[in-house]
Amino acid sequence: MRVSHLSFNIIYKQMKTVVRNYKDEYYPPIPTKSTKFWRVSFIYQFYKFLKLNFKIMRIVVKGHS
Amino acid sequence: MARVIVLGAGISGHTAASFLKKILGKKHEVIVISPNSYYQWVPSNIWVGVGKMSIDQVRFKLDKIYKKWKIDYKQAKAISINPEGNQDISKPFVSIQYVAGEKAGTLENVEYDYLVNATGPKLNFEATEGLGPDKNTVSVCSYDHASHAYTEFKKSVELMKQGKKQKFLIGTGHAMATCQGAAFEYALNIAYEIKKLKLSHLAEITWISNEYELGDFGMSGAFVKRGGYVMSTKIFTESIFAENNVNWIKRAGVYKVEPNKVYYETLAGEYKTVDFDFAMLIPGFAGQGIKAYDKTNQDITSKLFAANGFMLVDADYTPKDFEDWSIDDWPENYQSSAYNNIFAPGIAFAPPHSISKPTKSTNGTAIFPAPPRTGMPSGVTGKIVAQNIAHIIKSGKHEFKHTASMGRMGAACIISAGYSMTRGLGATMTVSPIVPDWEKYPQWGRDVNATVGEIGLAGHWIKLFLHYMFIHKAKGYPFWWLLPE
Repeated sequence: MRVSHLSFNIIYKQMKTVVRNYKDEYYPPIPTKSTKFWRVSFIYQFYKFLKLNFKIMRIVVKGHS
Repeated sequence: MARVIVLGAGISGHTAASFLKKILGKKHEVIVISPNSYYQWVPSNIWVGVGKMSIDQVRFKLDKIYKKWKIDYKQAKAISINPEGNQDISKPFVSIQYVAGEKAGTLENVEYDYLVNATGPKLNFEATEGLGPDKNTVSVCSYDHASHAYTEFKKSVELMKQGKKQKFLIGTGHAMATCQGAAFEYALNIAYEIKKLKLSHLAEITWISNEYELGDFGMSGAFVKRGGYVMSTKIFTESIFAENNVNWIKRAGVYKVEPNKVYYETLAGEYKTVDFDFAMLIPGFAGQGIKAYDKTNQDITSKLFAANGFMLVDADYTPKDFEDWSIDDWPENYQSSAYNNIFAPGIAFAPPHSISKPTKSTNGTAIFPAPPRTGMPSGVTGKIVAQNIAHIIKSGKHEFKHTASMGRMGAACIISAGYSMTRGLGATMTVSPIVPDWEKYPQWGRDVNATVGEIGLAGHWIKLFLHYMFIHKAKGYPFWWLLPE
């Protein structure tokens, strides 16, 4: 369906603008595309898997006598 | 021959029983008394709650394992403890009532030389009007609750598929509830599943919690190194929620639930409501309500147990201001303060105080999280209690070779944020120590080099790996004793 320039303007004006700031959810840091990529990158996460397991084991070993 | 009774077959009780039998061997008797016929790996209940694991993947029958280990297992609940015996029985004993099989309903007195009370928490749904799987909300605290939660979740998904908006409310269902971590996990898994179904535009997910700030988790929050900064878990948690379009209500004490409506009081003293279509709210915890009697049958419950039903142990219970709390207040060997042959590891012991700062609303209502005790400290304390009792029995010396204070030990908590081997996410959190030590670490309360907060696919792999590792250990498969708690 072809939307004319006039009808596009009407639809656009009817869309409610959402102002996101001044809400709690607006302020925390949000991950970038790159961060999201590295979070599920297989090789990088395999390295993290080993590193985090090492950190956990260190806590386990040191934790109790 | 000494007889050791273990009450409870959860993470702490099962660990204690397995090590007691391994160390003591055939010469001594170990008896496990639990009303449950299954062992359950509680941390994986989250995945049952979103249909990613079946009930049978997170539980197994106890009787087979105990038969193999030559542990006497009685499917019964403990009614009372007589630490001095009574006028007819000279030895200490526990009164139990069988809950299944031919003996169901039968009462029995079981004598002991040493008693391990690892009964865990009672899920105190009654403390909040209208809360619980039998009423207006769901829970993921046990495998059957989690399975029920999944059934209800599927109903909401079906409605969203029909184009109807759904409001999800997840968090704590009592002003002093704990286990925010489990609720946090469930909120993220719900968000992940909804996103995967491309229904996020029809879902409004809200987190409700008694925490002063998000990321408190009942352990006063933590500080982690991230991106060149040392930052609070408040930022970490808010960031994950914001990314997943989860709104939040904090400093809220839920006191009543009606169908589709939750009533809560805020620290500011306001009384508010929030609507929901699906609500998973964690109840408050209490002790199991076991009574205690002395030799003359006088009630000495208050001598053994705190008012909330948890057992009094080697902690410093002197009332103190928040600023005066110390890691030395926390127990090290979990021996009863009243009787030296009774121990209470895991969740059964009474903490000396909370870890989060106690806060009251302007109406005087206490609204803050109780201290959490996750799987790791439960397993560790169960093990050291077993090692100490075995040492006392074998050597005849009443000394503690092993200690495990929450003020000295660290803990790892792996928070699932989506189940998938290639696209899944998990937040790996470690803290050391669990209870902040402001004397040793004056700036952050904990060792920031040992404290981690990371989110990624590796976290999911770790949680899944731990699931299989701990099931392997609990089933007593080869070299189970080499696996850490």
